[in-house]
Parts: sequence; C-alpha cells; structure tokens
Amino acid sequence: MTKKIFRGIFLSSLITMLACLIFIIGVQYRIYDESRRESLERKAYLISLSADEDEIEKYDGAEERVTLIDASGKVLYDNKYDAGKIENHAGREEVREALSAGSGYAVRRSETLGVNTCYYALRLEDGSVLRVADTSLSVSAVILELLVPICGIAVLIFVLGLVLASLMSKKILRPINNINLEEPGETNVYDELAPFVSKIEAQQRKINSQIAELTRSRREFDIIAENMSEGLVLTDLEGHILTHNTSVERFFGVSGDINGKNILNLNRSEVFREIYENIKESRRSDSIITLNGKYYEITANPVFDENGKPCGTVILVVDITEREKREKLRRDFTANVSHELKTPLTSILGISDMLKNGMVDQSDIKGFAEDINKETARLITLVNDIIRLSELVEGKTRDTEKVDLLGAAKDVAERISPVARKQGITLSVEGESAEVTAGESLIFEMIYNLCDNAIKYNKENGSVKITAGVSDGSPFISVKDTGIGIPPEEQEHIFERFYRVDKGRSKESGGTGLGLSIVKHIAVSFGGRITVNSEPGAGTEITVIFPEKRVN
Amino acid sequence: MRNNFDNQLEKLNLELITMGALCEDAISASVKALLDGDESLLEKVFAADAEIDQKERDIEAICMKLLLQQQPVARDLRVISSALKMISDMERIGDQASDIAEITKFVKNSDVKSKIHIKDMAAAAIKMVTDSVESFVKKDLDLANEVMAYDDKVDNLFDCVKDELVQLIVNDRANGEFCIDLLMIAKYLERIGDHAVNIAEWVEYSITGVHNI
Repeated sequence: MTKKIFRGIFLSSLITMLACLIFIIGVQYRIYDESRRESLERKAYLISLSADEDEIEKYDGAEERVTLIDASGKVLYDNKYDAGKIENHAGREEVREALSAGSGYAVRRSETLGVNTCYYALRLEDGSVLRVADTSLSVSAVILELLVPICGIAVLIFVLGLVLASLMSKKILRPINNINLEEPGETNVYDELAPFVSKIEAQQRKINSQIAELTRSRREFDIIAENMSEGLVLTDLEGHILTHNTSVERFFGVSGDINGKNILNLNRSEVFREIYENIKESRRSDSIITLNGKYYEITANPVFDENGKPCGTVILVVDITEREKREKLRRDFTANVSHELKTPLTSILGISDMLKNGMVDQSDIKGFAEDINKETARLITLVNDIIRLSELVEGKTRDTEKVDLLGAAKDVAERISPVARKQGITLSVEGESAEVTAGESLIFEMIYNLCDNAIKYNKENGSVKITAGVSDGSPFISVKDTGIGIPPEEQEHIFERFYRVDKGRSKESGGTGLGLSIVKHIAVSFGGRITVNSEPGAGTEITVIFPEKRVN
Repeated sequence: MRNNFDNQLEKLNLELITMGALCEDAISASVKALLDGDESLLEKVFAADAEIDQKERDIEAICMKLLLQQQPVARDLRVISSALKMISDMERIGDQASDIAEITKFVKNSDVKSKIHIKDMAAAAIKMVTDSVESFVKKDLDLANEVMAYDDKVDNLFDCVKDELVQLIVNDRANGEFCIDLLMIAKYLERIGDHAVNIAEWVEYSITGVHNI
C-alpha cells in the first residue's frame, strides 16, 4: 500500500511538473517570437530611414543581416554576403509579401547562408525592399540551451518529490499500520476505515468465542476418553490413528506418539489385519483377541458423515477378562454338577437294571438296596448343597440375630461327636464367648461344614480343635485339625465349587466338593473373611474372622 | 499434505509389518501343531507361507518402484535397501515354518521325552521372530540388539536338544527315524533364530546406517 500511495503521489507530482514545463515553454515561445519580430521591425524601420546605397554600407559590421533588394528581386546589397553572387530574391516569401503588402515576415531556413533565420522585409518608398534577418538563436535552440538548467531543476524536483512522496505515504499509512489487530477498537483510525475496524472486531470476538467453545468440547472429549476404562481409537479411512486414549496404550503396551501411524502399529495379529481391511472397506468388525493372558473384545464401527460418506472408524477395546473368567467358571460349574449328578445316577441305574432283569440273588438284594440308598442319599446331599449355595448367592437367608460363636461351636461338637468318635478323633472346644450378628442356622452350618471337613480329612487318632474368641475386637472362630493338609498352590482354589485337592479320597469320604464353598459364602454374607493356614502332612487351620462389632 | 513418496514409503512399512506378522503366525502355528498335535493348524501354516511368498514379490515391486521413480537418498535409501534384504529373511522364515509343518505330519503321534527342550527352543525362536518384527515396527534399536544377543540362547538349546536326541537313539534304536526328524525341526528353529537376527541387523542398519556382519 505504501508503495502504491508513494507511486501515486510521485507520478502525479512528476506529471504536474512536466505539464508546467511544457506550458511555460509554450508561453515563453510566443513571447520570445513576438519580441524578436518587434525588434526586427524596429531595426528595419530605423535602417529604412537612411536607406540608400551609400548609407546602407554603414551596416557592414552590424549583427543582423541587412539586404537591399530592388523591385525586380535583384539583390543590391548584402552586408554578410557578396551581393553579386546572390540569386534573385523575388520568390522569397517575405519579399513577395513586402512587395505586395508593404511588409513581410517569415521564419525559414536561409538558402544563402544555410541557417535558420527570421526575416522581416519592408518596402521602401523607391519600391525596393529592405530585408533584415536575424540569424541568432531560434526557439528550439533557446529551449535546447535552457535544457541543462531545466534538467537540473527536474532532477532536483524529482529527488524532492521522491523524498516528499515517501514521507507522505508513510505518514498517511502510519495509523493504519498501527492498528492493533487484537484490539482494533482501541486505536484511532480514519473514519473511512471505521466500518472495517468494527467488522474485524466483531469477527475477532466471534472467532475467540468459537475457539473457546472448540477447546472446551475438545477437552471434554479428552477427559471422557481418558477416564474410560475401555480403549478408544479413532482412525481415518486409511487406518491412520487420529486419536486414542491411554487405555489403548496400556492394553497394547505401546508408548510414545502413535497418532498418525497405522493401527497395525498397535497390534499386527490376524485379528487386527482383518480389522484394517474392514476399515478400508468401511465395514464393521467384532472380534476377541488374547493378549498377555487377557481377553479383549474389539468392536470397530465405521463412521459416516451427514452425506452418508464414510469418513473413518471408531474402535472400542473392552477388557473382558473378568467376564471370560466368570463364563469359564459357570461352564465349569455346569460341567461339574452334571458330572457329580451323573455318577450316583449311573450306579443306581446299573443296579436297578440288574434287579429288573432278575440277575441278582435274593441274598444280595439287601446289599444292592443299601447301595441304592447310599447313592440316593448322596444325590440328595448334593442337590441340597447346590440349593443352599444358590440361596446363599442370591442372599435369600439374611435373617440376623445375635449368635454366640462359642455356643454354636459347642452345639456342632455335640452333634458331630459320634462321627468323630467312629474315626477315633478327639474333638475339643475352647475359647471365650464371642457374639456376632448373623443367622444362627447359617453359623451352625458353617462351623459344621468346617468340622466335617476337619474330621474327614484327618489322620487316624487325630484331633480337631475348635477355638472361638475375640481378637482385636473382631470375633473369630477357628477349626484346627491334624490332618493331611493342603499344598500351598492348591490353597487359593479350595473355596471354588467342586474343587477337590485329592480327587480319589473325597469320593470315598462322600464329599460333594461344595462344603467349603458354602462356608465361604456364609462368611462373606456376614462380612467375614477366611484365612487358611495349612502345611501338607501337618494339618490345617481355617479361621473365619468377622468384622468388629459396631457399638450402638 | 502427504506427497506420493511418503505414501509409498508408508505402504512399504505397512506391508513389511504385515509380512512380519504373517511370519509370526506361521511359526507359532507350526510349533503349536508340533507340540499339541493340532493338525488343522498345518493348513494355516501352508496358507501363511504362500501369502508370505506373495508379499515378498509385492514388497520387492514396491521397493523397485521407489528406487526407480523417487531416487531416494540417505535414510530413505537405507530403509528401502534394508527392506529388500529383510524380506528375503522373512521369506526364509516362512519356508522353514512350512518345512516344520511338513515334518510335523509324520511325528505327530510319537511320544517324545525331549519335547520339553524342543518346546523351549520353539518358544525362544518365536520370541526372536516376534521381537525382531517388533523392533522394526517400533524402530527400537535396543530391542534389535536384544534379539541379536538372544541368538546364543537358541544355539545353546540346539546343542542341548542334539545331545538329548543322541542319548535317545543310544537308548532305543527304534526311535531313530523320529529323532532325526526332531533334529531337523531343531535345526530349522535354529535357522529361524539366525534369520531373526538378520532382520534385527537390518533394522539396526536402517536406523543407524551401520551394518555389522
């Protein structure tokens, strides 16, 4: 802009200057021409006063060329030239004019002298013509002579114009340059620019508010994405990662900047290669992959813009390890239940088949009937246990009252002592009274199950010690035996349903594999926790610790 | 905006990752078929091998195109030339995986005591292939160096397996044929380890410009 303004000012001043020059020269030319003619006229008049052939010779040394021509055009005298040699002048313009009109004036090139000349001719009384010629400078020569000073002045004006124009243009533009674009309203500018400034100001405000809005929603999105436990990846149509959250980095063990890279950089397994193909085709994909012992469900959904054109893919990665584990547990449970139910049923079926076909001696019938009875009893125990367990899991049996653990332990000991005696096991109950808020029958069942296990998996002539009491304000009950013990690597599994440490032995002892599972559920339902302290071959101590009694 | 050259380089990178992943799949599947006797996996190995061969030709074409059309210099040139070398190693890994699968067809029913060490060896070879591909994907120099160092372990395991097999033949000559098969598998695994080291070396070269032989 500065340049343009500068050029405008400079050019206009230059043009003005040139126009002035041309105008002045034009005016000057006329004035000069006029005055020269007048002086020639005057001279001619003066000469004419004394113009005869003798007198005229006085003008020999005069500056002007003086010529005397008779009426026929013959040159009588010339002060610059030999009159005899000059041709007839009757045809000369000024002479012709003078002969006819009395005086004549012409500016032309002299054929005799060969220079630009101004002529003035005057008819004398005797009919001859007196001609005065001025060979001094013509107008163009004058101008040519003036050219040097004119050029000097022109250069001076040129330089002056240059400086002034640049100063001027800078001065004009300074306020515009000084506009603070951040706060356009605060600076004073030309009135002509005020609409622009206010428009800019309005737009500035709009842009700022939009940026703030965008940043806010971007941050919102980031916060949500970062706090998701699921992994989130957005990709474009070529599978480049546009954005992702930290869960993804954790899941796939990648670090650093992976935005802009292909999703195969996350994981390159077959599943991901397929997802990559689907992304390119904008197809949906659902898959599950195993990574470092964990299961992830990966859902890739194509995203379409408002015109229905695909513009990328959203990939959601969900850790489903827990779900898979539970699923496995459930499958195992079903398989175990079926198996446990099948075993007694098979032997019952076999026996009943034999009985039906009359293949059994009368004397053996009693034995087989006992077998059927035993197996059926086992089935009922099993089914009862399963029902108990599902009741406990569903939390149906939550009637609570104050129960004394020591009292419950004594009840159990009394009930179970015949079984213990049969195996030669000494049973002892000790400790102090400890009250818990729980269901009495459930506590009884829990201690009973623990004692039952302690007797079942004991050595001959072993002992079972039940201790009740309060430790650090928490009521506890522990059952310690001198039995076969549990290997350390099995200890975490013993509370699982149908889990058995020694598969062969428990069959003969008639356990269902659900006892400890029931114990655990009862303990947990009253807020208790279970610790196992066991050494293979030396014995096991299982302690159930209840939460501290709340003081009402 | 990405220009054509960058796009082609990225495509090369992607194809290499895919080819590496295919190698991992092939070797894992053939080893699994060997150890678990799962014959359905064998088909997968052969399919992967065929795909690896195809990928080798594709990548070769991409590299040639890049070299001719773009005339890359410095690092880009190193990346492309190392890619050309890498794919031949990957192709060999694919071949050896399918060789193992081929032998597995005949050894599947035999009871082997020394499967224990073959298992370790296979695990080590798979780890090397996975890590070498991983080092390429992440341009991870440390991981590449780890792969090179890990080769000793595979070599030691090979010696160990060899001794075990000799002992087995000495004990029972009936095992002879079977043991020779296993020895070949062990040799293939050892070779796969070497190829993984080669890949790691080319990764190192493409990053640093230094190639140690």
